[in-house]
Amino acid sequence: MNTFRKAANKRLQQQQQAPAESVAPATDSENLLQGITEVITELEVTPAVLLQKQALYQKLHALHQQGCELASRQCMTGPIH
Amino acid sequence: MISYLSHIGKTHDSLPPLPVRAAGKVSLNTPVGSCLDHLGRVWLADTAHNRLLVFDASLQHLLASFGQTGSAPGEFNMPFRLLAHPDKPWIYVTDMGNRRIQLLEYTPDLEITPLLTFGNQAPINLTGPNGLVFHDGQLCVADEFFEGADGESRLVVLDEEGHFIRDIRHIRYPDNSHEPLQLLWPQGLTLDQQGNIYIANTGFNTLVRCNWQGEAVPFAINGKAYLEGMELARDVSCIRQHLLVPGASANAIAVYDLNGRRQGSLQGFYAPIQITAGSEKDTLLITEPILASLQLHQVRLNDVKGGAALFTQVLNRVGDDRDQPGQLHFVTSAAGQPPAHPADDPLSPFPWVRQWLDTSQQQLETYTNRIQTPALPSWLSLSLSWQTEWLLRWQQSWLRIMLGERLDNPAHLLWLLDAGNYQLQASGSTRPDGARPVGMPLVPGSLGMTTLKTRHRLAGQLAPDKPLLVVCNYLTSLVTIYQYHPLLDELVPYRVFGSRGSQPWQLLSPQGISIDPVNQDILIADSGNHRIARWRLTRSGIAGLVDTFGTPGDGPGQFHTPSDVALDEQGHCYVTDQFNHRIQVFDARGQWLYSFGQPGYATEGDQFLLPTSLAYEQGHLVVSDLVNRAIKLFRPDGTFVASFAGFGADASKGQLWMPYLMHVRNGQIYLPDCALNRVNVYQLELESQP
Repeated sequence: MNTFRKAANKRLQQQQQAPAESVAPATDSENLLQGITEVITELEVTPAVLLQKQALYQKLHALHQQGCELASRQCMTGPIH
Repeated sequence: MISYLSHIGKTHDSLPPLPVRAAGKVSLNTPVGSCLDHLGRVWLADTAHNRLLVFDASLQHLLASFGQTGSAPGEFNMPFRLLAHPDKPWIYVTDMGNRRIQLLEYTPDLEITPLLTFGNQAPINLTGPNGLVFHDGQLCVADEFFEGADGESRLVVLDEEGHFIRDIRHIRYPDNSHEPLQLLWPQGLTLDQQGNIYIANTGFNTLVRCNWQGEAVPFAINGKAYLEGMELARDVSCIRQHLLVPGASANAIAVYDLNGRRQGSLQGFYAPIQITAGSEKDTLLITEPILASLQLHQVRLNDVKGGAALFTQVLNRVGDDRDQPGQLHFVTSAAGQPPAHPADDPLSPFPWVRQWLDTSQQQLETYTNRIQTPALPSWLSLSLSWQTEWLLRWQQSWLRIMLGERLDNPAHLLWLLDAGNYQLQASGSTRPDGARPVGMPLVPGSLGMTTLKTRHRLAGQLAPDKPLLVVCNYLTSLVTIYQYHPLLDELVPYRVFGSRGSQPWQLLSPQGISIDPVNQDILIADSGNHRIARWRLTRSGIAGLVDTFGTPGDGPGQFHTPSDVALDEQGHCYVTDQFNHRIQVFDARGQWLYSFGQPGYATEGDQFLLPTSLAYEQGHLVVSDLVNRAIKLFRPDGTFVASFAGFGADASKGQLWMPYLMHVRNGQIYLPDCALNRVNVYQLELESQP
């Protein structure tokens, strides 16, 4: 086997051994809405301390991801043809 | 036939009279190598600018600049790695695009003279000189793109004036206890105190150890001459009895002891490459090519143990200023097309507005950069940089809207995804300075892009006569569709779909994206899931998954990191199956039809090495072949027609370093190069249909 194929096989093997990544799905849209409301409320009342903002941004980002996940999963209920 | 026309992306490499305070004065272009001279000054390879810069030890002042684009002694084409001679006032430079090594001599007041150039002639004939080490009067260079009998790369050992001694093509175990190790695309090299060579063996993502005869020197931890399990192995530095491997885990520098035991990591980086010990105790010089930055960090390496993940302190940084007018920063993809006969300045009918905007943006940037105080933890420094950049983009967007800077005619613009500046730019011409920021800021990680001209007005679509812009994000694995807002005269988000994961409705590290001309489906190269995803926008504006095809592997219909997708008039789907080094072809239902190509170095024919992008144009396929730095033209059945090739950073020749997602429209090829930070434009002259 030549070097290129050997390297590609090793790379694929390594990738498949790595744990699968997935965003934890939101249980339902109500939870999602509640989470976003919490973040928005906190953003309004918390002093603009950078560390806190950072954590809130991350939380909001995770919630946004979950929202997309939920919407995309719902699109799977009837594949479009 | 493919010929080079021009490029988009302005070069800002002018410097004031030197020496000068470095802050705010230096815009770097994908810097890679660094070293310290015997007076402790910092030498940096400003690689895509084809020059070397010399700073004082604390990076406060820029002292000298040396070199320009070219192939004469003292000129460079991608100066890559630097190495100071241990005893003499000499600096070795791997001049990668010229396939040679240059030896420079310097005086204490930094008069720099080229002494020798070597390596580009027989018997050496370097093909990709990269990392360098020196020991006991001998110089060793990693020849990254050398092709041995099995495709393996090599190390070359020379004397200090460049005379050939030997090359090392396999790392052999002295007792023949294991198979010899092959090198593939070796980049960084380093030495320990015993003179053992450590090799960042990029093709295998391993760290290999050998002596100067090419004999394996096994690590105690596994009895093998290599360490594995790294996400990426592009470089390695041995500093104070520690091995530092940038990128071995994402956004971090992994730290190993010399027995191969992983001690922990340094966190708070983006994609670091070269790490050099600073002249002060516990300091490290780190280049971040994608951030266009050279940084001075402080950290006690002895504290990295027991799996600790430490943050460093950022003492100083230079560069990281790549949003001047017309400048691009990690440009990844293009879409649309400029008009055939561009106006002088189609993006701004009011030049004074643009001038005022440019000035105010620069003032804002200067102000926000002052927020960075010395000795910030690395994560905070990185976050602050990103947040200030992000804020700037928003402020710039609002300024543009309030001042009424118009897009003129959004249907006749070339859209550029300026990922490193988190923004879209658009150009109404193919001039180097033609690009201007447009639209709201993008989420970091935005990568692939295409236009979608809908046949019917979709629910919520404000301007159905203007194309939608579909952008995928490599990091979040989301796809965002933007539409033109006639009132704001800006692009605004229309729909978002996808999420990160491996379920059918999810995406993982999506790259190229294309529209099926038959039914307007959106096809996405879901590279991390090794498959192609087909999505559709309904008339009610809802994005739904239609299907996915492909599984991991190297058989027919299987993929290993598919990076781009293109479709012909019948809906046949062509995919760059990147790590299988081939193009695969599917029918409109995702059934495998045939594939072509095999791995190999070649600038012509159907040998590929990491084909990255492709486009279908008038009965032909245009393929960008990354490692061969070639644009290859085929008929759809895989018959080779013509090519254009050029490895380097010479803007006048259309050369390439890291070409990414190609776009072809009406016989013009737009190929963004995310390391050179420009979009090359080529003319495609097609033969008549077979």
